[in-house]
Amino acid sequence: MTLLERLEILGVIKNLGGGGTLTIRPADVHGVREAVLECRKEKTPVMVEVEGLPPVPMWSYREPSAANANTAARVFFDLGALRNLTLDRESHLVTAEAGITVSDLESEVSRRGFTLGLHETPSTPLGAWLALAEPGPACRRSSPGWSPVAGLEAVLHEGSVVRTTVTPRTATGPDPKALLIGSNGRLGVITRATLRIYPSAERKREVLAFADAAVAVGTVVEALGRDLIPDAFGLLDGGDSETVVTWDMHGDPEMVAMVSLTLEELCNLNGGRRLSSLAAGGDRLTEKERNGARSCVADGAAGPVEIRAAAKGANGNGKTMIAIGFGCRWSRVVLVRRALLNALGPSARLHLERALPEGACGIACLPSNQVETARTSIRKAGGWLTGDEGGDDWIDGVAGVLLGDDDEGA
Amino acid sequence: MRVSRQELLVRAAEVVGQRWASNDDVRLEAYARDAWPRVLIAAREGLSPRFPDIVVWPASVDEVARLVHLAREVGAPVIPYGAGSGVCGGTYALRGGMIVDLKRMDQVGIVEDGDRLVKVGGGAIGEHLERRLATQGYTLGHFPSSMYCSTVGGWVAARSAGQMSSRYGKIEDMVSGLTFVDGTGTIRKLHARPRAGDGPDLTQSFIGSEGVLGVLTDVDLRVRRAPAFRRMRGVLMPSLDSGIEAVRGIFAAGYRPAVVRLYDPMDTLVNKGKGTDTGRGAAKNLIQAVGKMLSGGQGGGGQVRRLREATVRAVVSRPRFFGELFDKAAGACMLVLGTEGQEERIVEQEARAALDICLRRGGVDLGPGPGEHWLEHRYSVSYKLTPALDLGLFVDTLETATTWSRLRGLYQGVRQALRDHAFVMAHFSHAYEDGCSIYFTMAGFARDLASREEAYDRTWRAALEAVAASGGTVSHHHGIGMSKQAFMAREHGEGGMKLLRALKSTLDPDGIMNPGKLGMGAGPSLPGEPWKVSGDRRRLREAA
Ligand SMILES: Cc1cc2nc3c(=O)[nH]c(=O)nc-3n(C[C@H](O)[C@H](O)[C@H](O)COP(=O)(O)OP(=O)(O)OC[C@H]3O[C@@H](n4cnc5c(N)ncnc54)[C@H](O)[C@@H]3O)c2cc1C
Repeated sequence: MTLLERLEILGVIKNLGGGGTLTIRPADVHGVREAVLECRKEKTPVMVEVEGLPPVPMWSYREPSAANANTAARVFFDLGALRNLTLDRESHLVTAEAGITVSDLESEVSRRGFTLGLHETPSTPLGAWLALAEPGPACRRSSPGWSPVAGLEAVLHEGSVVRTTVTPRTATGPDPKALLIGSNGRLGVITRATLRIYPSAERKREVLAFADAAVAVGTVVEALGRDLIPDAFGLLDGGDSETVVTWDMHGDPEMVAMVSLTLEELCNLNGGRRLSSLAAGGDRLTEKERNGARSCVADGAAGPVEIRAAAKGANGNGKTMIAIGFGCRWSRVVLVRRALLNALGPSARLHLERALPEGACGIACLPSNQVETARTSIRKAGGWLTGDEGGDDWIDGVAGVLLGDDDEGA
Repeated sequence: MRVSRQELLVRAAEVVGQRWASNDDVRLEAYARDAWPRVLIAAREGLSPRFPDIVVWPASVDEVARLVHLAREVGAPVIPYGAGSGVCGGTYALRGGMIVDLKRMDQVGIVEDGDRLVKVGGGAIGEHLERRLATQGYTLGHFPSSMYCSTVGGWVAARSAGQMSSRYGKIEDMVSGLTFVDGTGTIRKLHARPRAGDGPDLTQSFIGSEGVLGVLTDVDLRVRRAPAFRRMRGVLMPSLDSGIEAVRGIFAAGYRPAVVRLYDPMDTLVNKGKGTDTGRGAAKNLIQAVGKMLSGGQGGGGQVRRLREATVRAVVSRPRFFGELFDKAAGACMLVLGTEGQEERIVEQEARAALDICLRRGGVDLGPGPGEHWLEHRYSVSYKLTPALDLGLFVDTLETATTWSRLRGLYQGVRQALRDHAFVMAHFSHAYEDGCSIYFTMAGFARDLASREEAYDRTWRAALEAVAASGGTVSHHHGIGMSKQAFMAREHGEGGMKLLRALKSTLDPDGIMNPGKLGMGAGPSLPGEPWKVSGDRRRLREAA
């Protein structure tokens, strides 16, 4: 039997034709495993297709076995049929299969009174979202060891299944989830994940304005030092005009009220002003806030969730602006900002979207022709860019070993 | 190993200096074991596991790298060593080799207030670290019971948890960056950076590696300002169920008390029942006698003591009978709560809200006394095993965790599985929004060493089987070492093990780093097996 025939038995739904490219739609993890094993026999590259997006080569045989690989053929895995979902209300967990999109998942859990509490909920399938590196929560509960993922299931190159115990914490060696998440599918196909969820509660947002970005940053650092940790956060760089800080909280109303009060006191102490304290949800800054802050971002000013989108469309002195992700320790934020302004001129902006105790992550908005200058300035001032983390050599090494086993096994 | 022990010593001394390398038998014997009770039982009878070939004390990451290069060249295993307080046999030199003790690398950096990060050497002892941080006005918030006898490197290597983990997190929640020397002698740095969905998380792929991927030389730890306010409380919950519901309710509401310790009825009677109406009559006295022995108390002289010892032996050797009897006598459950932080009103609010949740579930407020008592005595447990061992008992602890929805099943499953093997009590001491850990104390008895070891192994096997069957993790914070490695595949799936082994092959292609641990490569897979496999157990007298 040919690979096509064997895969047909397993559920080939489309044959895109040309160059032996197939798209299959397995019904469950067993189907994924069976198909992976068949591909392995043929040394056929496996890709995972994300519905509605151009096919992403999420897992392909890379150089190590290129000599043996049947390079003409490719099998795309469409995981759209993997859409089961179960909610564990008592433990605040949802287990979902890889084909359901993150936005659908958010709608599903919110219908049941919960939220994923994520920074953004894209319409990417869960498996692809995790494989491409989940961005983590906005801030809440955030710690270096925290992840929104409490358990994971994946099928590796050679067909064995990773199935981690779902547990709040464990001490059973290095975390295989940490290797799989963000490795672009190069180690395996993620088929299911258990995510942490939170009861949807009314959210309260404090909006504070400061004449000076450095003072705004100082206030945030002090607030974090006092253990005031936001659920979501934004610092919108106002350039020469005011810098706005948004601080979202939810939970027990009395506790939220106390955190608000403490924040306000801190803000007053540092010469800032409280623009509003909103009980309503919604990420977009209100007209009033925006006006109050004397337009902190160019047209389309938005709350933290939408900063990126707004920045992309923004116009700085007639030039198209783009956003690049960066991170730095708190002690470097002001230095990085200054370096950017020096290198790029007054239209550059540094917005922060995650406030963690040991540092901030955000985006720098700058004219599109100045990206390289910006990157250099950020690194020189002690910041780093999204993607600097590296890890390719680890993943290459692990993939190489798995493929090596595969070669021996086949 | 391709060289003699003597030659290894000479070459290692060239790296660290003569003073800091040794193959002295007394030293080797001291480094031949950690605090795994399986081996402490045998040690009481004068038996020791195989000795390492040498012990070295490097002072810098470069020295560590050179030592690993040397080990690789001559094919000697490298076993990183913190303070040897591990309880799973993680530091055993199963195939001899070089123990690398990190304690000379104990520097503690200065905290920059804005960043609240501190660089700490892998060999820093916990208590020294906290003291140094306190002088700067900070705390790490990591307080394992072994605070005085464990190192930062050991914590990170074994994914340790402190007594205040509910607020501050486990050690993996505190590590922002780290440096280690892998099995090829390469120095690898994972920089201290907030995560931003930026590729795989290499730091978490290294933490917990128990020396099998490399030697951890320094860590960037996230610290907090030392708390300015603290409120302790004791609450007596009418039942274990109401206690569990109360703790879950506190976390579901978004509170993070620093201390949350719920004792099951037995543990409440044994340790916390003094002065409270937590049980009935003679059974209560009996349990308290057992408890005193298990926590190292000897008390009383002559006849009284002998009587107590006989009672304890009798109880522990008939776990099913006495277990059922005690269950009938047992009553309420003690819950100790503690909140702390920078802002008095927030600390108060958290304390008030947590107490309210307990009272709504039938709890009785005992005031600050029990909490303060716990705080004062929180390190005075666990160290004094000797009296129990001398009685022919074995005592060990199993720390597991699971989701809230499985927690009761896990608790009952383990107790059920152990009822013929050991006297069991438990407390719930690390809580999260999605679940909680359970810390079981198990005690058994057998007359001679061989049957005691067998009983010990049987007990563990039954307990771990029950944990796995109930969907729990086989370790919440003690790690795997040798003792639990047979269950690694149950924990991560076959694929998970393949991934981890592939990671090991990447970072340690020759397999010299702490071989035979963590389910990585050939090694004994069940408690007890090390001896059957290696046949290397030796009488200390003979070794000397
Ligand atoms: C009385 C007592 C109470 C305890 N209480 C707790 C508790 O409350 N919470 C808790 O989590 N644990 C507790 N433990 C267990 C133990 O203290 C922890 O496992 C601790 O993390 C071990 O630290 P250590 O420095 O002693 O490591 P060791 O025992 O020396 O080593 C443990 C493992 O880590 C590896 N290792 C050590 N240092 C390094 C390094 N620098 N680089 C790479 N690998 C390394 C070793 O090879 C070994 O595999 C307790 C133990 C005792 C005896």
